[in-house]
Amino acid sequence: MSTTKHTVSSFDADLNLLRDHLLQMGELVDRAFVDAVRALLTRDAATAAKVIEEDGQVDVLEARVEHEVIQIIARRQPLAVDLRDIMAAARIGSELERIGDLAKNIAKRAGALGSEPTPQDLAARIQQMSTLAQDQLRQVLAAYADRDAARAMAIRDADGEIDLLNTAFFKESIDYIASTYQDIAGTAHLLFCAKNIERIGDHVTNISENVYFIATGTIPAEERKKLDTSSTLHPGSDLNPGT
Amino acid sequence: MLNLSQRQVGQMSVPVASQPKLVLDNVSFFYGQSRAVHEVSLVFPEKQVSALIGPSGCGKSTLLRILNRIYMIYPKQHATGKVLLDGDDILDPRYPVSRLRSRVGMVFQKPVPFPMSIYENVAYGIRHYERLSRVEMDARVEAALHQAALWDEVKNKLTASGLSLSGGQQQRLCIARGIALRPEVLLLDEPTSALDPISTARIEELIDTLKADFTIVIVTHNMQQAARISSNTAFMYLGELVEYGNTSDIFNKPKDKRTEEYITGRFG
Repeated sequence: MSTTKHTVSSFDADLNLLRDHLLQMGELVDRAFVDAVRALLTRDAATAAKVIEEDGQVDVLEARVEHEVIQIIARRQPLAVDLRDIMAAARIGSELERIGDLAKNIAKRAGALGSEPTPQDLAARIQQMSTLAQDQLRQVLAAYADRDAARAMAIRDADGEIDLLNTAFFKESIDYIASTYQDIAGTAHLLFCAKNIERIGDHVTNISENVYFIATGTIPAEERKKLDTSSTLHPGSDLNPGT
Repeated sequence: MLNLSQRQVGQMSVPVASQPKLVLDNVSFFYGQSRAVHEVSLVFPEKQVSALIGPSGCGKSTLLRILNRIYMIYPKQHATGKVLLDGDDILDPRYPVSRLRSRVGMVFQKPVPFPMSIYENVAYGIRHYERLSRVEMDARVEAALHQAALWDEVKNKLTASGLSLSGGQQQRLCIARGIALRPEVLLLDEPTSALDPISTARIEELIDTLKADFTIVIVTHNMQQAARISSNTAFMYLGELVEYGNTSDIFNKPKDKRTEEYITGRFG
């Protein structure tokens, strides 16, 4: 972002407010995500219910962000970095809203699980994935606040790790079901939760591309490698846990 | 046809691959001792709209005035460097100014119709250059008014004074007067700054049509206007050409910090 202030100071105020609302959204979905995973792994129904209920706040903020973006376009006719800034803000708002939805979905599945504790290995893998995704989310919000293109690209490049963990989790879950024939429905829910976390990583990646766009005016050139191969695994595949 | 060597092209700002119509080579301009334009080199491509933007006093209107040597009517003003129109140096004193004015037309900020009839406003300039029969002249006047998107509004009152028209109509009359001479280049110096939004939209629509036949260079303070109507945009500051390029690049991703600060309203 340009460091020089606008001659019309209320334009700066508009842009700052927009950014604050997005960062506020970021904090809300970050907390929802952390709480949802904790609720999932500890069978904490009260926290799960709270995550579900509070998702409405994220939706309200997203609507506000969208309204502000339209107002700025209509009233300021932004150009160059300002135009990129607010176009990216609209897109980042949608990405954060989706992350909120995915966190809510994890919370709902937490409620659907029985009282049997999650097998330790699978729980550890979920925790590992979510810790990584949460870290990426926080980093991308900081990169957005600072308009830091280099940091945004590093986050984008690191998403492959979450993909690999998801693929590993898929194999481990199948292996667990095949070897124990226990709690098949619960494990299926966990598979969806892992996929949700992997999707959160993808939304974080999209945000990082928008931060890069604000800072440089270009979209990252190379297509990012998708390392989540779980959707192509079949019964004949080597389902031995990887990584 | 103009033949630029690689070396020359390398030094000049050329925004798009297109036939060059006007080539400015190291052009400076002086009001007495004071230099208002510093060594500008750029190419205006044929049959495209090129916009000059920049804060007041940056030299953009001065640059426009160089292109038809209108400054010559004032003593102590002079330009250096070359301005090539299809390869002919129009700054060369031996280049006849009457020929230049017939090739390069100009429309000013405030509409300035002559105090005569609408018809005569258009016919007056033509008479200076050509001897036409009444029928031929009628056809030329009508064609120019059509091309300036004014015909339907004035066809029943061609003998009325040009001054009786609204501001927006007067400006279109001035454009009709300019294009009646069938110039190759049209210079527009803030042609809509004195007009209301509807008249402005009509002029912009007109410019969009005229670029099929003319090379247009427009000075404007309205950045959105430059963004809407031009293919190329030059940003000038303190008499220098800071940046020149495709309009979409200039308004989305300018290369120079000063351009970005100016177009986003962060200047000074």
